[in-house]
Amino acid sequence: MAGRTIDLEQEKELLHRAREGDEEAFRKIVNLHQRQVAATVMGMLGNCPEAEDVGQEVFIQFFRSLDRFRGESRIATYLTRIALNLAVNELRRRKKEKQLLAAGAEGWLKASTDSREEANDARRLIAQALQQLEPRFREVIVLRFLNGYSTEETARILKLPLGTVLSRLSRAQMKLREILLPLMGQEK
Amino acid sequence: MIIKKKSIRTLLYRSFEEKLKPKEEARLRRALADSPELRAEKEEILRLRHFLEERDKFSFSPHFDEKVLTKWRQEKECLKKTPSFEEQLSSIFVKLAYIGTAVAVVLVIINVILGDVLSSEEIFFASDSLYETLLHLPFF
Repeated sequence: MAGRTIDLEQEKELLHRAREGDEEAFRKIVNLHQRQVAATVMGMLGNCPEAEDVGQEVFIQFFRSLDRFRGESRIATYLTRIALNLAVNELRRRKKEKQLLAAGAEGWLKASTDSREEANDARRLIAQALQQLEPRFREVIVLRFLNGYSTEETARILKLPLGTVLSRLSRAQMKLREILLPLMGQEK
Repeated sequence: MIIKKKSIRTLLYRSFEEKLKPKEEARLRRALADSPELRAEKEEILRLRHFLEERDKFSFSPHFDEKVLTKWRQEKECLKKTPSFEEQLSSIFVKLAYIGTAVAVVLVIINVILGDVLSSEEIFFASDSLYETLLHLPFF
């Protein structure tokens, strides 16, 4: 799974140092997990300017809760939960402000077929295709594929029955197949 | 026919995530052998999954770690500037002490002006007779 590049003992040591206020430990936590947080946040929100702000907030919330974090789960899982919650909050805020990206995403996909440079950008392609899924389908794809969690772990993180996760995964893949396959040929 | 096709597709998608029962596996194998359409779908889904799983594509801008740490340092500074509950409580007591001193000074001045209506003991130690005497002052 993404983000787990150190073993449990090293992770405990890192947490201990972070609790003591060691800035290098904070930096290491950010560097170890930023790609995974980026995949979660950008998968959920799209490749937009707010994604990085939300990403920063994920780590700030984690640092704030360091004293309460007892290590029942790995840092990666804990960060993914925070990232998902903050991304869902951001989606709600957008919905409230009626700034849904659906129309924008459609426009982008059209533009990406016109522009070879953008069509080659796999990250944008995935992020924008995911925007066309309902959030409940999007989150299973983000956790299962972009973060590399197993279906069991995905079910645990989302607090859903395994059957629901499997069924959402199937439906999401059917939809993504329609959206992405015609464009994937243009991706390097 | 549609229901059958749907259940085969469900089996196909499940097969990517978990081990099917031997009977289901045999059924799916037969369906794949019979249907070029289903074989094509399987290939496409495998391609899609491979594409999605190359997750190293996602990252934030350069120096993301520094941005987070700067924000964290700012937040810690703000927390230092915000007084704790104990500090807030002690500042209330200090204010009360100032008010008490001011009241005592005012009473001494009144006492001087009115000519020893109150004894200094009554002013500073607030004896029971103080309140009675206060109530008999001309301005009450």
